[in-house]
Amino acid sequence: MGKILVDKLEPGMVLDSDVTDPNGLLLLASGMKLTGKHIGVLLSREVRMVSVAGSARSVPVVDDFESLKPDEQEAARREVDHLFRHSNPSHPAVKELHRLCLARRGTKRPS
Amino acid sequence: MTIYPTVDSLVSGAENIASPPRIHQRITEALTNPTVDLNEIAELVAKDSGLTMRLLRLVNSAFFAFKQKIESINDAVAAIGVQQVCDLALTTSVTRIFKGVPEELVEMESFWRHSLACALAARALAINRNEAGPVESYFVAGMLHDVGRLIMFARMPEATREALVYSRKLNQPLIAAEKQMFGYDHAEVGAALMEIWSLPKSLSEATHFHHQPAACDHFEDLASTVHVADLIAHALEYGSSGEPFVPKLVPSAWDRCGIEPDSLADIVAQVDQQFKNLIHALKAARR
Repeated sequence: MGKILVDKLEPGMVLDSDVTDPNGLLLLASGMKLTGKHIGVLLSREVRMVSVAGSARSVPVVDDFESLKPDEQEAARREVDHLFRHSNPSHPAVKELHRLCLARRGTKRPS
Repeated sequence: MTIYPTVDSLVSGAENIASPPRIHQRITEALTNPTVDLNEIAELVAKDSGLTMRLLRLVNSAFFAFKQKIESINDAVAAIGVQQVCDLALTTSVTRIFKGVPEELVEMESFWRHSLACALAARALAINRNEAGPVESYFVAGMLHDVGRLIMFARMPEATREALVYSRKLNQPLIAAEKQMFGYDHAEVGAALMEIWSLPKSLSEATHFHHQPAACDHFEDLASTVHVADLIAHALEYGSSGEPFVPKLVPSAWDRCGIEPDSLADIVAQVDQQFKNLIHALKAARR
């Protein structure tokens, strides 16, 4: 979609390149889906223009777990459960981290 | 009965086994002087040629996405601000220090990957809640949160080997093994180390309390953010500092971070992206 003034941004738009503040520090990375809060950050940091894409995310999020074979899924599930056994998955944030961790087992990721 | 070193004995003489960030001390002192001028700071950093080189490599890396190459410390200071130069000077000097850590205890690459993931997540969390001050300090706090482990690996390798074995055999968190066996843990050691190096209290407190952020008196926001960032780094499985398990989340720390669980996927996406860029730059800076 190209460059757009920050005060024209709407939640749901996706960045297609990195956004830096006037000092050059990285604020938001390419691929980020903007929320009202992010837009507020950009405004408060005096960023004037950003580049947004269409609706597709350029950094893939994570749901390739389903592409694993059932025995691979089972193994991954066991390993991730083990990793989290001393944590508190009853807390919604930990539950989400568990889900993300499991989902990432299905993708090739940097580590 | 085995006698283990006390925290004090572990960190005393730390000035000898590691090159302490003395330059950071001097920079911090200069910064608390209200009449500080940029040139004075730049000169301090520029005096250390190794540090200058590493810092410039970092600043010129894709992480900062500058359009023009930064040629000097003066330019760096003008471009990213004095506070950021100091924080980065600290990070680049600390990343060089622990060279004597036995490989079978922890693989340094893996250790720094975990630390970096925590640093990036901490920064992202701070930005996400629209933190008013400079967010680089969150990066540094995240980067150094497990530094206590390094000095333990370096100065009491047999004991830490026992703790690792204990942890794995009994499926207990390594931090629990540390506490059980030594009476202290890596968080306390890290904080003590930072005090020996006269680092800012915010850093040593955030390090001390990164597993129990609610107990942090003056820097609960920073400690809480590092706490949550540490969990994120664990869940993303970026390297390891020896701990095999994802720690328990302290709910008040999560509340302080001011984000919703479904924003975590976005934080993760940012960490992934920035991780790729920065690991490359830091590898170069560590030589």
